[in-house]
Amino acid sequence: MDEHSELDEQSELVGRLRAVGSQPVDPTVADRCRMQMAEVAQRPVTDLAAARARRKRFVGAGAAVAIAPGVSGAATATGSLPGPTQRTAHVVLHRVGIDVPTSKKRPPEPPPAPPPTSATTLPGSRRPATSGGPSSTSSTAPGTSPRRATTTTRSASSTSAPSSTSTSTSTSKSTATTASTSSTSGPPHPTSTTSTATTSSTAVPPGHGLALPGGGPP
Amino acid sequence: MRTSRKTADDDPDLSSPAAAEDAFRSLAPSVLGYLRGQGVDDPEDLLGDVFFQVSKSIGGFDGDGRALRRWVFTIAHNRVIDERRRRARRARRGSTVDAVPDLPAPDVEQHDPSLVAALVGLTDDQREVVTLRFVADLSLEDVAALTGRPLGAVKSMQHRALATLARSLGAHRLPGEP
Repeated sequence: MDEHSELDEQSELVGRLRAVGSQPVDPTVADRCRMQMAEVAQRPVTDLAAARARRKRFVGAGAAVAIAPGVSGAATATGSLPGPTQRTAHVVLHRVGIDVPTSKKRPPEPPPAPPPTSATTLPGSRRPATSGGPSSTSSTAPGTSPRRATTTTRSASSTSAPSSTSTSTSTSKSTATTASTSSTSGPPHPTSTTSTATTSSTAVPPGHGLALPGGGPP
Repeated sequence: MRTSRKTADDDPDLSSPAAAEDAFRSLAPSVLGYLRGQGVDDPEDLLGDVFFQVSKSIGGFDGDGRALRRWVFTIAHNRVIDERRRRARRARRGSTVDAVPDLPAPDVEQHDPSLVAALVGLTDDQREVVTLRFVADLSLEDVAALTGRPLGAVKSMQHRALATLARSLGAHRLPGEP
């Protein structure tokens, strides 16, 4: 039988069925449903990717929280923490009865203090002094740092020997080097030559060394 | 014969956040009638569940008013199936409360109690088809797609359901009823 003709025959029954679906909802029920729907609307929109990223962050943070105590504990127990931290852990944990070694590494000792030096300096200590003169033997010049001036002075004193073959004119980078040169005033000394050669030096013909007041003969 | 009424086919504003409210206003009566016709325990409560789900998922819905109607009744249909399974599990556990057959709650005001009672006398499949077809006002094709049955089977079920209802209502016609 065709559906339309069947529905025409059953029109009364079909009308009653349709009427069941057109009855208005009780206002109380409708309000309750709307409240439920409003709860959904108040929730933040959850994007799938954002939720996944949030879950990843949560898992990562959880893993970090789980691993960090173990790692730090192991580092403390083996003495692998940085020196002061390890010492602090040693002291603190020792008080609660846990034996933790102190740091394996000792902090680097400060370099030995340089010996006291004289106060005379040369002006323009970066510039090679190829010839002697009053300026090369003057006292501290303006703009010259005390350390630089001191070093240069020692170099000058080391080259005050008549047979010195080189003259140290630059600011020495090493205090030890200049110290060794300062100890060789007077006759030529291999150490003096070697140490001054390590610094930037300019070859000076014999007899053109720097002369300090009261120094050796030219 | 189609009853003239305001439906979701009147193109509700599906793009706005108020789409769920529009869907509720236009479809809640037919959804509630469908749930009553299916003989669920608490149709009003289930109506809230259905539109709660609609509110949650309507942001991902894309379609016209007809598609919205089909989509909302798919949700309602799935809720009815869930409720039937839940009731069957409770009955298997021996709950005396759920041992009663599908009957409308007596305290709920029914528009057409004899018709609802006659619907309960149908098989689940027939009741499903006839309520989706006429109470929910879906086409035969939509009912076939929603229930996962062939179109011919849906037509056949509809025919048998109408015949059974007519017989049942004719035999149990109450005084003053049409």
